[in-house]
Amino acid sequence: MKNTADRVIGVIANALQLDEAEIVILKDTSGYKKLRKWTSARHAEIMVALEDEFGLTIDETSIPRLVDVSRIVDYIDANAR
Amino acid sequence: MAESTTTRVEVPRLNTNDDSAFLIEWVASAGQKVKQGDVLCVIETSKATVEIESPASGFLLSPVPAQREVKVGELLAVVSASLQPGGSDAMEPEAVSAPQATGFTQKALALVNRHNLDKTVFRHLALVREADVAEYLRTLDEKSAQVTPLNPVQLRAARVLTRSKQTVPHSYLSRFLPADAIDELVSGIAGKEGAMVSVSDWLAWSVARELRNRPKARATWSEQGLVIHPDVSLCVAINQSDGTVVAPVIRNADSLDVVAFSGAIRKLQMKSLRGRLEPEDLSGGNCTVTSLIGSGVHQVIPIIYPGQSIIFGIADAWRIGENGYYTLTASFDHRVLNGAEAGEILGSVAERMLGKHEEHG
Repeated sequence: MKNTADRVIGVIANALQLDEAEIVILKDTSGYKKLRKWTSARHAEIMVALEDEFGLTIDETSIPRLVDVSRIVDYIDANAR
Repeated sequence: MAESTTTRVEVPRLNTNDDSAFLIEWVASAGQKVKQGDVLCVIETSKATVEIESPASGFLLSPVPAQREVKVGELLAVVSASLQPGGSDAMEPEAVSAPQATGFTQKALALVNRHNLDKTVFRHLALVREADVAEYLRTLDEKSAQVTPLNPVQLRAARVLTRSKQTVPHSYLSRFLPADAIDELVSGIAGKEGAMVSVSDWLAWSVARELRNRPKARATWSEQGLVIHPDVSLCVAINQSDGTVVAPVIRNADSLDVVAFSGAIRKLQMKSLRGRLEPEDLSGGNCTVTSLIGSGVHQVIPIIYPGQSIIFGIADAWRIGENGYYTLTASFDHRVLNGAEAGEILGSVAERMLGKHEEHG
């Protein structure tokens, strides 16, 4: 059974079509700055994919700050039903 | 050519629901010499506006008054071989049986003209729709280009853009902004806030703040006077997955800090991805920002949304040697603003983007 972090990584890797090397970068908390594929338009796609994966609605004010795996995991753990 | 000397022009049945139509206007006038196929008048049903073509060549006589309801089958006019019907020949006007005047929808007519078709091939139809013409084209040549119908959103977008370009006197100003300085500034804000803020977000936010002090940039032109909108409702252009561009609105855009503003844009992008943008998301804006950053294009010269007076566009930085520049362009309605005023606004937006104004909070 996958934990939240693995599921989040899976969602983002899929949304951004990341290769193995990029997934390594993703796992680093400031990875989003180094991932050129993670643009603001793709961020919207990631948010939609996370909402679908975890069955929640992400509130607008949190969206811009959900930029690394650990923050997303914290948000999901705090908000998932 | 029609053999009969006097031909009735009657209101055709254009669809099963309407027993009447509205005669909008005559294109040909009483006594005018017309050829078979010339447009005589324009009538409107609940579903379409149709041009009625002359069933014969001759002189148009006795056109009934326009701007009123007419019934299907009602006589609109006659086309007579001579200017005095019944004068030079023995036939009674009513004794002649005439081919029903063929109506073409505007789309059908456009297709016919585009392919230079002989309209008489559709004589057998009372109303020719685009699908009828498309079907005919297919029978001519199986390999000919197919007509791809447009969906209502694409049609509406096409009308909006056309109306803007036809009615608004556009004028354009640009400024080149040092890309490294802006990229560093935006990165710095994003880093400090621990948030995702893009250069496009930064432009839109800067415009929102600037609009607070620029009533004419939030105005709608009308001949009765400028309508100045009190609030700052900023439209942000979004490319949708079906290729259409929409520009949903952020209301009171000047009251948000830059991170909240970015969140609002992301939320609208998410709604677009889910196909859930509502009509209220798409109306009520008084200025627009569009970005082609990421497209590989160095300059965009945007089209003003009808009802607005100015639109700002930015594209990818153009790099030459060590230096890069973003081209920021404003397209503005020259009835509302003159070049100096628009230039001032553009300059002020540029200064905000370069961090020379208040804090981004």
